[in-house]
Amino acid sequence: MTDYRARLLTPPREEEEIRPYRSVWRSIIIENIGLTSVAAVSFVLFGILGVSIPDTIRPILNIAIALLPLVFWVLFSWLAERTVPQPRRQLLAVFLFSVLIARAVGQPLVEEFLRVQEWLPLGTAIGRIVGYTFTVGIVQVGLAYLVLYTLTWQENLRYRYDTLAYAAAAALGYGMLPSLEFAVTGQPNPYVVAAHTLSIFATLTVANCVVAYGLSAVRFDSAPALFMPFIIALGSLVTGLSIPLYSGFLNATFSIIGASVQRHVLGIGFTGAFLFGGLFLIYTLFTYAERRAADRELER
Amino acid sequence: MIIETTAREATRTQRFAHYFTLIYCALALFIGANLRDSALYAITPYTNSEVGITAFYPESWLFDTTPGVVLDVRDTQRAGFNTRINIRVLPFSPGMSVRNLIDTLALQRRIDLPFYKILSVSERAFGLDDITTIVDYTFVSDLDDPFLQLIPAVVIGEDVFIVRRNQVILVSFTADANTFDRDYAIFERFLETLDY
Repeated sequence: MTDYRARLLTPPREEEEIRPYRSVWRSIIIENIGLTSVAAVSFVLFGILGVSIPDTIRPILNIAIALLPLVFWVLFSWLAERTVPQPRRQLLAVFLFSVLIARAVGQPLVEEFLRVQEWLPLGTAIGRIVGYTFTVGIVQVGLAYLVLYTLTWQENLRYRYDTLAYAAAAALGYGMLPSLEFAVTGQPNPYVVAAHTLSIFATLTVANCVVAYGLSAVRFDSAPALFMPFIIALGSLVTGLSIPLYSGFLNATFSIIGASVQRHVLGIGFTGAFLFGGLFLIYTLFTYAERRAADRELER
Repeated sequence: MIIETTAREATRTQRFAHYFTLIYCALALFIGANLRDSALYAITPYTNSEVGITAFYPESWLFDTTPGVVLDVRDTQRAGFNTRINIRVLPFSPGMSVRNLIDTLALQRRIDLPFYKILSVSERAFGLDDITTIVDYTFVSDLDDPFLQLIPAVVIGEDVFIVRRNQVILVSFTADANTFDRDYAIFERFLETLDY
């Protein structure tokens, strides 16, 4: 039998969709892969191979490592934002506000009011998780929510992934000064700075992305009113889990045979798994929410 | 798929979500402060029936046994000079005055503690009907170890002399000058719960 249906020698060219917004996931993934790679490479170089660097260069290298998240964000988020037709205008404001809020409110609340360094590291495992959730976690996540709500809710949340872009900027702003302070205090080894920087930003990024999901659900999916507090509780639990678990993986067990050294390989491994596992879960939630929104549109 | 929104007014659900979130944050912070209080201000009872003293000291502090001292507790978590509270019972005969004890202690401490100086001597009401003598002093704490990389600490101390029949209960509090004001609250709570 002859088939008379028309056939094309080459498939029709699909018109490339012009996206008015920057792809948030691509930026987040690239930035975090970069940060994790730097932590891993510096651990191999300075921790395993024992590459030594002059004392005069070490502080500069440490500051450069602590500033890497900012460099990555400027390159892959902020500059990329300027090349799209409809950029997110409040990105820089969210970043700068988060830096200020972290210094003016977050740090005094955690260190001087809640004084976590005096009582939490000594608690039991469960006690530390609960303690960090209701202290560091709620302060970080609550302030991130306030910054995002204040600066973006009214006019700047145009579609669901905007929340994610702003949440990542807020995480960067909140963690910037603590990681810099760690880098310039006591001349630590560069791989320790890299691991610490990765740990700070991994925790903040995952927790803030959880908040971003909650904000997008309330804004675009008509989520119930109690959903947002639930998400804030979840985000603070993420921080509450991350800090003691990271310390648990990092700190060496007591040894009477030789010197007890910190296990940075486990620390970096845990942080990487926590970061990318958390981002994958949030990506799944966002994708699912988007599909449901598309289904709702079709049903109309 | 891109769903744009231009609506600026929040719906009622969104407004309530915001209010509930703020309430939850305040509540969680309150819980955090309570956890802090229960950890930092947890106390342990101490009773000495021989001397007739009951006191409550911070749970996280180390109970030490020092000869001649009824109770000796210190905060070992504090870097540098450990904040310390101790109780001693000194004999007090009818012909003596508290000033005698203060002078004797000052002479002894002048030998034991570098740069020991009395800052003030005052009297204060204590409990329902007791008048106590308070002596504030300072000295420098320097551990005699050439390998210890530690800057000597300026310490502020306070002695509370409580006269009880033929005895004086001497409650001493010493802390690094940098942390004295903050730690003094612990000493005040300790004195409030002291039963003799």
